[in-house]
Amino acid sequence: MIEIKGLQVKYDEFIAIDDVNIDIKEGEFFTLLGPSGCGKTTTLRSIAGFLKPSEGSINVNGKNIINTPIEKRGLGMIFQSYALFPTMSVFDNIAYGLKIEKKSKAQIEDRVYELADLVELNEEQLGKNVSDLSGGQQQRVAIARALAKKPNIVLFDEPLSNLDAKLRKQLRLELKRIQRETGMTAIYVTHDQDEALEISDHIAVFNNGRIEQIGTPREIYDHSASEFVCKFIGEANYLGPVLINHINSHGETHQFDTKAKHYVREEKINLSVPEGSKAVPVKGKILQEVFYGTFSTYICEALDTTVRIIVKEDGTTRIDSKNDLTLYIDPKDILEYGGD
Amino acid sequence: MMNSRYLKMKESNLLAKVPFYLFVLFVAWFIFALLIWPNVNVLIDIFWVDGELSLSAFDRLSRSNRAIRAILNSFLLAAVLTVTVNIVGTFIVLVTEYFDVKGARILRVGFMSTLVFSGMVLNNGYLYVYGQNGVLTNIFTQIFPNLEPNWFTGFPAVLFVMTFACTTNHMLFFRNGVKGLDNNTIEAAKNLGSSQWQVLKDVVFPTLFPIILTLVIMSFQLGLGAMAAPIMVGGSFETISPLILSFTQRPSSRDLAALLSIILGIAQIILLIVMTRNEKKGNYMSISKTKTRVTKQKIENKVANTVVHILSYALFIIYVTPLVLVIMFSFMNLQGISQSTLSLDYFTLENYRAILTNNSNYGPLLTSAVYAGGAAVLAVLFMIMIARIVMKNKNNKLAEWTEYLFYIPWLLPGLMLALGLIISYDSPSFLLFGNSVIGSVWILPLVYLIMMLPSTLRYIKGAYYSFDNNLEDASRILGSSPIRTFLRIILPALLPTALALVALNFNNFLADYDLSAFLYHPAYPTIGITIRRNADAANNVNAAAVNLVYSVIIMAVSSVMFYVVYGRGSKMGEKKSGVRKSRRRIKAPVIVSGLGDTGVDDPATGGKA
Amino acid sequence: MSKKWLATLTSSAAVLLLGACASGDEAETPATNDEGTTEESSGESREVLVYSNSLAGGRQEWIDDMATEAGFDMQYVEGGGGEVLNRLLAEANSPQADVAFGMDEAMFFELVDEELLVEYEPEWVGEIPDDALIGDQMFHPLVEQRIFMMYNPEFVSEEEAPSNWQDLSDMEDFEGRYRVPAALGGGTDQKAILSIILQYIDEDGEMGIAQEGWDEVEQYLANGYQTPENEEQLQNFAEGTIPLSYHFLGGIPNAEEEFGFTAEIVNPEQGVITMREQIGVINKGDDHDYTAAQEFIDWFGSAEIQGAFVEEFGGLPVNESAVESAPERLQEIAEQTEPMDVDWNFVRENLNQWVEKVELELMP
Repeated sequence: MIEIKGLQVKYDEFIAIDDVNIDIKEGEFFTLLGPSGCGKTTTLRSIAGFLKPSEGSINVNGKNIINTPIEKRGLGMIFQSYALFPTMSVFDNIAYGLKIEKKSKAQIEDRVYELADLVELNEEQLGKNVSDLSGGQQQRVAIARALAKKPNIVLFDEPLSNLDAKLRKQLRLELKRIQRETGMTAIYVTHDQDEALEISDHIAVFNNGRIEQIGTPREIYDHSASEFVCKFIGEANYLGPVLINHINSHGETHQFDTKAKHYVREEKINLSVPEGSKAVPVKGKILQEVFYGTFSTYICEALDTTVRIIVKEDGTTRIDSKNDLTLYIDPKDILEYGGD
Repeated sequence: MMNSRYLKMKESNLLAKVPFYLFVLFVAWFIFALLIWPNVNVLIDIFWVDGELSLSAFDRLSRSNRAIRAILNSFLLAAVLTVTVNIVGTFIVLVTEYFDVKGARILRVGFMSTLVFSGMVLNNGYLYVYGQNGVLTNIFTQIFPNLEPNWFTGFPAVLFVMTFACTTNHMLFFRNGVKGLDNNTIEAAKNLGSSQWQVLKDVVFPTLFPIILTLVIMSFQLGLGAMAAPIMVGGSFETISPLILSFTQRPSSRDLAALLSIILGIAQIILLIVMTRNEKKGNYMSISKTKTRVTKQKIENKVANTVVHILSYALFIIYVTPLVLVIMFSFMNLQGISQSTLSLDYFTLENYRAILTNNSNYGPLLTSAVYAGGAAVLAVLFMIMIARIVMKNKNNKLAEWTEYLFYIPWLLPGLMLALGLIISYDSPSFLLFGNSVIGSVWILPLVYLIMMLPSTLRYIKGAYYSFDNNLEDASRILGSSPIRTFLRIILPALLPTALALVALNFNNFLADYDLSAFLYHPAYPTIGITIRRNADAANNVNAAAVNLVYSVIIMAVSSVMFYVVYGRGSKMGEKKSGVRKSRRRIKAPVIVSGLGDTGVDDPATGGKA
Repeated sequence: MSKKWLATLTSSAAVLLLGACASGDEAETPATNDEGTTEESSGESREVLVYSNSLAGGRQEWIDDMATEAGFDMQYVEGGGGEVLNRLLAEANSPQADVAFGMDEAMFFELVDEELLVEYEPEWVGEIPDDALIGDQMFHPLVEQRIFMMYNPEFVSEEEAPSNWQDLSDMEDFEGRYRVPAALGGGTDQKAILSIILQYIDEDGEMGIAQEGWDEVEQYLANGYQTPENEEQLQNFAEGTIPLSYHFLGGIPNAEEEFGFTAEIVNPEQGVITMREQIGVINKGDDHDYTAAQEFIDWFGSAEIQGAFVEEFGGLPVNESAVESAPERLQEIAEQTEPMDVDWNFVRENLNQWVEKVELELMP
């Protein structure tokens, strides 16, 4: 449905994004993820038309929209700051796009109430001024406003980052629900990897103006394509060369390149293994322990490497001695970057 | 094939942009035909004598101690005034809008009086208090018999008068800014343990930095261009503007006037450029969501609270007494006025009767109102569009230069600009599409408009800084065209500032005489011309009294203008934009532009005079 | 819903603009159709646009009534003398005015220089004294003004009184108690300075004036009192704080009445500066019909109208047949003073630079 090819955006001499290629299918929830300044918002704003790319094309249903005026692109967009019109009531904010389409009064009213239902705003709130609403309610208004014209594609520019953690979680689920109910294609910008993993069908991870990896959340997590992606998504332990040598000496299948960098996700280091596992045992000791209720984390030192591991508090794992324990690392869980 | 498709796309893009290109074309024409060409011509006319460049003005000027002293005085005044005006201006805005001070409404009316009470009349008012026979002087001389009755003169007197007279811009623009602050940021700072002073220093002032910058530039300019105060209370403290005016009016001395004026103008523009550079470094874009309204802060420290209250009311008295005395004296006859004595014996309604029953006053008043009003509205609309282009292309050199070119009217006195237009277009010119300016009705309002542009642009730009660009994006993506977005979203957000500027510009030019005398159409004399005819000292010994009465009438008209356009206007704008179907009290929206609503809470602002 | 507001705002702008344009079209008609006027000039409507500095204080209304009665269709541009002159000079390439009057001979000479006047001999020229006809038919005098020193006899005795302008700076008793010009924009103020320097004409001196003359002006200004804007010099004069001053003839009767004093006039040996307000036809091209303008001048300068005019507003008509109508006080002062012999052409050539020099270098 949306096909971005070789996109490049320049600010004067500075290249904000380069060689961005993305394919987004209809009805998909697609997330642009990355740290601030990585180019994800630039990409989104290029799709919206606020920025003019210096190279590349953006095809929507096979038509290049690079030169289409913003207002003719038929997109919906939700802003980080909501960008509600302060001089209008909630109702007028939602109705704004419909009025431009010169819909009849009755049509507009019907649609506004329909949207209010969808985003769970009541009639009293519709009559209020936007500044009288709470942050969460304002965001609902922004969503309703963006959906008013039933756009096929809706752009989200970090829409939840101004909200507190609990509200963020709740609205995240609602966003997903609304997206499913309306069948729209969502392009979602965020720097929050949990959010991205939870909500997305596909994720594009940005770094320094380029895409590092595109994939489903699971692909990106389990098979991070680069060291950057590996470190940015979830928690990963860096494994030092001594430890790698140790693993290599036990290794039966694969020898790791000691000049490369190696990581393993923290939940993939175990204190015990089932029979027949290929995991390599490493002697270590616990430096620090934090109890979280359902699980605990341990900072351990083993062969010049400090790792953090997660242990479920379900009574299956017993730690006999803090100074003498065995960590098991399965070579297939080790991610290798760089080297020869 | 690729090529033709590409071309097609380009074409449609071009078509969509036709209004924009037309506007750019118009701007280019305006800048060249009305800003550059006339001024170049007048400078050539002035400095090009008998086929060669004549720079004797430098020489003549350097030999004149008086002129050099006047220049230095102007700069001294500008520098000191910038400090004092901003202190007083900030203080009066904070006590009326930010801190919880009792009677803030009445204080506000007093502090706003300078919107209409300015220039010669204002100085007259101050002299009724501090002058030779002034109220305060009389009290002082009874306590200190040795006091020189003429004590209120020179630099301190000028500085004193102007410090209070020039806070108008603060009461309009800084006030808007304070009202538009986001209460959440203030509360957040307080939560983090900031004292009230720290909140001001770390949150309030930095947020309002672009407005403060503008105010610094404008108060510097007011100081440089000081005219009324040095003439009226300056005594031996002379400044440059009165000299420029008299040199301008004499053809052979115009090179001096141009030179002096350019010196002032350049100082002004250098300051502006330095400030603009600084402004660009900062980021004042409103990043917060829709703001919550500022709640007034109670001053916690008891002593400080008392001191602030006392200071506020002391300032109120300083502001209001001269105005009250001017109004009272306008009911005195000539004896009363010339002796500065208020007495029932001197009471007369004759002056008012004479002026109000003279029908020949009303036509000119209407002419002036149409000229000044039309020019004010158009200047503001025009500069809103220019400021938008400038702000949208902040890193574009061409846009930057466009902005600077609109500051050209700061370089030369208005009369010289008028002269430039006449020299350039005294016969039908293709640059004016076959029109000539001589004998035309529109040259006078056109010159008004041109003279209004620089400061208007400056203020509008300041307002843009706090406008949330996402609003524009949001509107565009909802399907609204750039023009519709401009009209429905941007203009309403800038409306408070725009209306304030309309009213301010209107008042500045309503009673204009100098430009009128040079340009008015015989069929449409302006009120300035009529006032002079009836209040000319050479022909009318009663001139002082007549002048005073006219001043009060003009103040009344200006007040009505402020009330209707600024007070009611922005208030109505608020109401309309407000609530549907809600039974709750209508709460005025706080505009994200950071200028907030300017709804004058009490309509009394207008009804002073 | 601020839409309505915007609509109001923009539409009011449009209305204002339209209003200005509409009134423009309307107003430009009389100014542009000179041709039209001339054809019917002998008929009912004789349109005359007058530029003058002598329309204040009810004069314009008076002239308008009388002229309308006489069959003229009048329009006016008024301002101070300098302003009207500036405007005439600025519009030199497409003059609007038909007639200019009220400015003095120096200013009219400047108009002659710029070829802004056309020759015309009014019907009443025979009633003007020959020595007042200096305009070479380009302009003719209407009203005479004299600018003189005066003192208030209540505070200054005849013996104490100065006999000439430059004496003032030497009189210790009156240091800071005689009025000197605070600015030189006005004609009367300029004449005070001229009264001194014209006694020191010297071809070799700076700008045709001997150094001694400049020194006298400097001292005169340094020891005198510049009336601040907020004070009324006549009040000071009447109260005796500043009992020495200068004034122009036409304003004396009103001033004496309003402020309650009787001034003594000083007539120095060289006489007092006497200038005459002139009238002339503005040059609007060779093929322009000047009939209406000429008829206006014939009418306005006639003994009958000038006599009535000075009876109403004061002033000393140059027209000998109208002198009788002047207020007695003016005739009395005119007899007490001698006109100074002034080469107005020389003055006109140098006046601006003299004034500039005084403003820049000699004023305290």
